[in-house]
Amino acid sequence: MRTFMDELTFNDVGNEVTLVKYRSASSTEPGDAEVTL
Amino acid sequence: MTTVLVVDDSAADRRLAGGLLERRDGWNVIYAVDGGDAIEQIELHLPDAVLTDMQMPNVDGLALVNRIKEEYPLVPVVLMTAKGSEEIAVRALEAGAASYVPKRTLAGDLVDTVEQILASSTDERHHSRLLNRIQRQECEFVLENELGLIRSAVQYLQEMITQVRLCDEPERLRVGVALEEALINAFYHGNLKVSSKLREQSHEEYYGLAKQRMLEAPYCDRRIHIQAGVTRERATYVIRDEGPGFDPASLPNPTDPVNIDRPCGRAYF
Repeated sequence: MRTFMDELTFNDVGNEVTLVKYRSASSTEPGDAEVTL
Repeated sequence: MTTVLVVDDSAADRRLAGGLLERRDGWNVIYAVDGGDAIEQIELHLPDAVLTDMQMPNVDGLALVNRIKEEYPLVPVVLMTAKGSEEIAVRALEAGAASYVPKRTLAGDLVDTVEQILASSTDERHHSRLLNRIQRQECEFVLENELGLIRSAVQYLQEMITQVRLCDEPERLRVGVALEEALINAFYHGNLKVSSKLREQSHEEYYGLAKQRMLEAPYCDRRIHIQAGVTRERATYVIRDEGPGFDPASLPNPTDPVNIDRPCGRAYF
């Protein structure tokens, strides 16, 4: 998890994990390009 | 102005279909003689819809549908079917063509069919444009201990970052892997309190105990809580189980060669 995310922290009890991912440089700005989900 | 590309190797059929469409105010019709020519016309003009024959030399209708769905997924394709092309038309519909009109009923059905497809396509384009303008999304789930729900939650959370284009496809997959690991940990180790050390000893006992505890109190009553907040700049996920917790510092470092084959603690690094 730590390898794949930018931040990973646990709470004091150890039953809660917080994962954070920041915008990557290679991602494109949202615009009117086609996006299919 | 709405542009419709008509693709047919038969000049007579091109004129017939194009003539019907050109009568509609505000519609501009452009033409191609086969699939290869059609791709060039799409690259040049990006039409709002494509109307294509199925049986053509070089690139046929099915290959054209596949190419359009891959490169221009929001451009709808309507098929013109003739006797003998039914099988290939079915395959093209399965591949993503939006609709079809038999050539023998073009005069009565073509304009209505294309009109209907264009209306749906316009809605889809507006929806796509709207999704591209999302600034922030938040959601919260409370899940029972079910692996199917976990997998669906990961997919949903990945879609959230796709919509704001937070990261590219490889990064999106990596985020999915990390989320799945965190949720699986909450499931097995957090709520069911099954130790990964047991998995080192016996996979059978590990999964057997998990299965048993999924039916036993207090384990079966515990839930997994997910909070997700996604903006264009960052995604934050908080995953909490209802177990007693553990000390992450107590886990062996899985990147140490001594522990490389041990399953416990791998998910955290």
